Amino acid sequence: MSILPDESRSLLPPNIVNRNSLVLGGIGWAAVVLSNLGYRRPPLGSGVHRQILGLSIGWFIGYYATRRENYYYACRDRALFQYIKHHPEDFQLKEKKKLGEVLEPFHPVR
Amino acid sequence: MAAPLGLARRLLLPVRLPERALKRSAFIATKQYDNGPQWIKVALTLGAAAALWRLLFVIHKRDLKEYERRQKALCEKCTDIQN
Repeated sequence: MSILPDESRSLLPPNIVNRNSLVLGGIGWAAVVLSNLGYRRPPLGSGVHRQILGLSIGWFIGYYATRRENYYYACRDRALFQYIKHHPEDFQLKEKKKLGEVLEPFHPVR
Repeated sequence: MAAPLGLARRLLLPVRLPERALKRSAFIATKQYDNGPQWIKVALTLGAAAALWRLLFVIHKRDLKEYERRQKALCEKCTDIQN
């Protein structure tokens, strides 16, 4: 089972800036900052090149995660709509009743 | 005449040991951190990051083109059926 089968290329590829990329890029950056803390270096100021690399790796993995997520939900929606098409009897639209028909006639008692 | 004088002057000057060697403990092993930035590592790291970003943009562009090509093919099929 591949991560991204060929039919996933029929879907619109996600934007380069996407939520999974942001989150995983942040995690990669935080990993570098944590390792700086572990080595008793200044956490944010030292190893900026490593922080950039951590962010980039996380961003890259996040992009593929978003594509996989889009493919999964597209497959699920396709199955859902096919089921709805094949079983119309389960998905009848109810007739809309006006409220005046539902309520009893009003006889004021004064 | 000058050479032995120069030699004597060098021998008489106060000996300055490399200070870096003095600061390292004999009991705790640590890396030397005041050597300055290791530029080869920095260059490799930044190069790898730049390569990753370029790869990302290339893949995105390629898949966008593929998506548009497939959409066009689908539309052409639809118009054929209608005709």
